[in-house]
Amino acid sequence: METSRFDEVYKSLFKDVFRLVYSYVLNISDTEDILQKTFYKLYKNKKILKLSDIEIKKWLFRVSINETKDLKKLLKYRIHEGLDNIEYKTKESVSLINALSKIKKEYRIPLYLYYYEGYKVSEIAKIMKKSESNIKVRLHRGRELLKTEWRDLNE
Amino acid sequence: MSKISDEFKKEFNQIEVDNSTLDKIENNIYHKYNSYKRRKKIVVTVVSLFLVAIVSTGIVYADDIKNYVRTFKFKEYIKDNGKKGVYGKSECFKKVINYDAPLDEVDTETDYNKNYKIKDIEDMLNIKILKSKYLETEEIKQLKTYKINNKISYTMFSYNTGKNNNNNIIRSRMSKFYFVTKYSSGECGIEFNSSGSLKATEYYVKNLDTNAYIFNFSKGFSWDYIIFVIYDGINYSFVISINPIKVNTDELQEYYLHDFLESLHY
Repeated sequence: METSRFDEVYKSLFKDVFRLVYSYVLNISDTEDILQKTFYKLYKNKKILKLSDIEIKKWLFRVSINETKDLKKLLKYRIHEGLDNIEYKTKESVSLINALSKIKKEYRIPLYLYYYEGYKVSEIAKIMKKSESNIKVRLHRGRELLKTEWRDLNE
Repeated sequence: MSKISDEFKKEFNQIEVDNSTLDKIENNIYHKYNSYKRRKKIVVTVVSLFLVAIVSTGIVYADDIKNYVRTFKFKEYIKDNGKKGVYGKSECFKKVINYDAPLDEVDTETDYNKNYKIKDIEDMLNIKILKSKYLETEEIKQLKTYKINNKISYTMFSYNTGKNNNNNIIRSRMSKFYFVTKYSSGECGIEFNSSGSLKATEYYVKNLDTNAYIFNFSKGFSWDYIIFVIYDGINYSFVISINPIKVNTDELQEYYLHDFLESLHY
């Protein structure tokens, strides 16, 4: 097991994956769960650990996005909604993140990858396994909604 | 573009992950991996021993090691703030029902969802539903029903309670149950995480021969609990309040909680 390589990748990429997942789920507890599952998959996957950091980062983004889908399914069946994350709710939120929480989840990851990570549409399409036109539409709609929500929050 | 980009960078750069979180998750990953390896070894050993036992002694009757069905697995952990947390996950059961029952698809929980008599749903779906003297209702409300190829894959009901029961000692509110069937492709079961100061206890329900999880989420002057029970493939969550004026000791609270659980029956 490439423990030292894993440790190196874990330390250098954890925050990037954390921010991506947080931009989608917008709560710390679920973000931590998804990160644990994502990095566990990396730890078990020797082949991926042999790739470059840039490739591993894209792989981690892809896996964590899939994990958020599983979380979405799980949430559908959760009957204890409201119990989680009680301690995090009191945290002060900042305006853009507030605005993100008001728009549909499907727009959040493309917006984050485009504006924070600086990926091109074609790269986002590969990470999210969607067509480029789909990503363009999501970015366009997401951007418009984000602007509206952001404006409302700042008025 | 640049303004949005700047805002993204400004706000997401503020999200800091402390080292203790990093270490905790990394340790969990190593621990999980080691457990996985150990489990594999144990399974191989157990299977080998079992085969040896079968060959050497023939059929083994195991009445003396009969145990109740433990539907939840849970673990305690220490959170960053030093408080104890409990994480639990139940097994996923696929309920066998009358998949073609004439139950409409419902996708949202609203006040206008259809009410049914418990007996009617039992007959329609060919299932049994838990009842209790404390729930004091013969009606349930259909909250959600999903179908795949016209077959019921998931359905959720709530008990139409809300009245005070048993001299105002226990009040049940928002008690629900749900199940998934073989037509569901999503995850199922109950997952809980006692973030913060929630207290969780496990209780073995003798009448049902299964275990239940009791979460105390009391705040201020009220004693509130959420109880998870999985029985016969149906996932139940009972949210109940105990009147703090009439029940003013921990022992009495416990007595009524356990009495509630033991009162559950078909």
